[in-house]
Amino acid sequence: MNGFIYLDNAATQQPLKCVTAAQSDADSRFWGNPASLYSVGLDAARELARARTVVANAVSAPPSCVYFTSGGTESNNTAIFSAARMLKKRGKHIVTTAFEHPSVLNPVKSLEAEGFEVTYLSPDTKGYISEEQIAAAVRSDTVLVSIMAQNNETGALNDIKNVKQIIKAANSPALFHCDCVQAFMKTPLTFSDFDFMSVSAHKIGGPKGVGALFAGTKVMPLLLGGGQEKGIRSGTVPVPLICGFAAAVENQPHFDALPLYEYAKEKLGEYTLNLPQKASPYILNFSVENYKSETLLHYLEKENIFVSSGSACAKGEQSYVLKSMGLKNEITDSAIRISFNHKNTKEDIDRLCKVLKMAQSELIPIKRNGIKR
Amino acid sequence: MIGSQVILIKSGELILKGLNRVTFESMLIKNLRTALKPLGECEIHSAQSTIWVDLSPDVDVQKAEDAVSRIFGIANYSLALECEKDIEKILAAAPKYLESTLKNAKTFKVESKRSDKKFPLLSPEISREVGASLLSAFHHLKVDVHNPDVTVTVEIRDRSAFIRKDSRPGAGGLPCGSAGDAAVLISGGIDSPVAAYMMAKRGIRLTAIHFASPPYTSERAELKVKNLLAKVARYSGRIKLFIVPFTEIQTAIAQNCPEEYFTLIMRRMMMRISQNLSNRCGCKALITGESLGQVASQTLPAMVSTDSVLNMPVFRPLIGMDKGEITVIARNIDTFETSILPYEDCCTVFTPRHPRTNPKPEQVAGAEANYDFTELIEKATNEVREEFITAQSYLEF
Repeated sequence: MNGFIYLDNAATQQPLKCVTAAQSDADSRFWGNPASLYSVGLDAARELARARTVVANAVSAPPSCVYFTSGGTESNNTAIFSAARMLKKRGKHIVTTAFEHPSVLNPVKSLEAEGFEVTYLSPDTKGYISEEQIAAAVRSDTVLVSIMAQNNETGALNDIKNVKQIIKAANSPALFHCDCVQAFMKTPLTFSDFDFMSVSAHKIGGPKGVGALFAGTKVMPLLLGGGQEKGIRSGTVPVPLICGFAAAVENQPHFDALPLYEYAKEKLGEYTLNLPQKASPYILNFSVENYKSETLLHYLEKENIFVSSGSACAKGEQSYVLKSMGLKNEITDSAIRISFNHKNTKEDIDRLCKVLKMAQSELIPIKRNGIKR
Repeated sequence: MIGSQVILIKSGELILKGLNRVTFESMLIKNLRTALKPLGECEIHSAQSTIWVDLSPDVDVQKAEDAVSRIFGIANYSLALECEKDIEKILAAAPKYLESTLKNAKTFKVESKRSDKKFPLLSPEISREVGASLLSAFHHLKVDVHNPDVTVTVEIRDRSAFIRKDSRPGAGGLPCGSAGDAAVLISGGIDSPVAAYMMAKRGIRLTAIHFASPPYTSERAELKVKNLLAKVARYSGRIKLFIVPFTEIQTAIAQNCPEEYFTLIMRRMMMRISQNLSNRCGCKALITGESLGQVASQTLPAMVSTDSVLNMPVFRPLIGMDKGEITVIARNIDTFETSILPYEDCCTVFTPRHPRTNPKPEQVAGAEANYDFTELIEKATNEVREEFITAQSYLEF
């Protein structure tokens, strides 16, 4: 059997060794409840404070702006509902994009049902949303702008640097939320560019079940309870998970994805590359036309290569992200996403290309009209 | 045992079956044993035209009742408490045992049956005494002998006395296995689990055949089929599942046959392999979830064409039903939510753009003759994987 090749690091990453170690160390040494008054609790509280500083420093944020959550979904939900409900007296308009993650789109849809008006910005065929588009959408009654830093299916990078200025120029009270789950630790991010920022630990080799919401403004909590995390996120704070998260941030392997990305682009050039105008080098989306994503995925799996069809969240369904870029059905039906981390090598790409060739010679191509859904 | 509960079961239409009755009944008892075994110790026997399930005190009565309510061949059943044949003991036990039933009722009556004529009280006297004790325990109750919310029955039998609650309707049908063995072709859609359930209800012992075409279909699709069968097995009992490797045949069809006949030829291949497997394991018929005209391969001419490769009957219990009606049953037996999971199955892999809806038998035969499938059919039949699915096989994802 050929070696294990994991090319789905945007879905999740194998936890770094130091993460597992930090977590298990915290489990044995800092298992106390950080809210307890005695020393066992205080030890855990100290560790928590240390971890908070580490995570905050990663995006030059004050530690007081970091609220630990269960992950990206909870951070996104908290920020969106909080901004909309706290500012609803000043307006009921939201600006977002058509290719956000479901944990942004679904809360926004729920607010739409509550009477908010939503503008969904559509990217062009290159997955690009221009600052002009954003500026044109923001109004004086806009209370929330939510735009992701990096798309999870195409790797498209959005221009998020100036959104706060755009909001200001439009004389809008809007808060800017940015889903940074894919971009965190992969693209330079500065917290001062945002009002809210969502990140998740497991996308950078940390543990699953922990993430953070960075908030520079007042937050209305989703969960009510014991008032942990300054009342923003009640529930006993999972110190060992957070220690694992901080370990992933502190020990993030030095990895420049660009050479690998360029290599993959060249090697996979004979297929249709679904390249965004501004691309992250961590994600490459391509289509082997006439072969369905799911079939190829399983063929590759048989050869110990693991990739994603679209995103891992939408098993078996056509990608709304690629559709929002106006791509043809032939392309979206056969889209494959590969995503890199420090463990991937050029040899992995060579092997992928070889197996794709094998697949093409072995599998029956399917003509679009023949595919029934 | 005194102080424990029993389930009293009246078998359904099988009492009509004359001299076969004993066979049917012993099959029903066997099915009851299998279904109740995982729950703990249960004594099952038949007496005085009733099947008795004695539950030992450690058995969860609610779970036992759920299991019994899904077993085919039962017209109705009721729960009862076994008591000493002593009127004072009966009067003491009745209010406590019936509390949950009577709490929400407004009216009740008590009936008594005294098959043990040595018991000192007459039936009307027993009813009167028990009724009075229940009235004094539950002040909100009134007696209504014509149209009561709850009827409590006190039975004085040879063995003991029984305080019995209202009887509830059973699943009906005939005991699984009493009608013989048949094999259901299961893809993972909404229809085939319903068809399997319906034939099990008529006494069929189920075998299932699933065609897997990796990498066109995934392991998740296979797990989905196993979960569907586990749901059906709650009614039918254990199901033998054959998983047929089908990729090579589908590939050969796609490469060698005209596109408009893909699905038809595929179904004929499935029928041939299913017949081979049925012969091997003693199944006398095939079962499919087809509904007339639902899709191109389910038109009358298409069915004529698929059946012409067989010399065994094909049961299609859904043939005259609309999708809506099928869906209602799928929801009732709790297979619907699993069926709609979006995994590719072998039937959707190579769907022709314009499938033939009115194929002539000689055209299909001609299209198929482009390639000699004999060897591939043999190979697929031989490389089948076998597995048993029970209600406990269900995996919640």
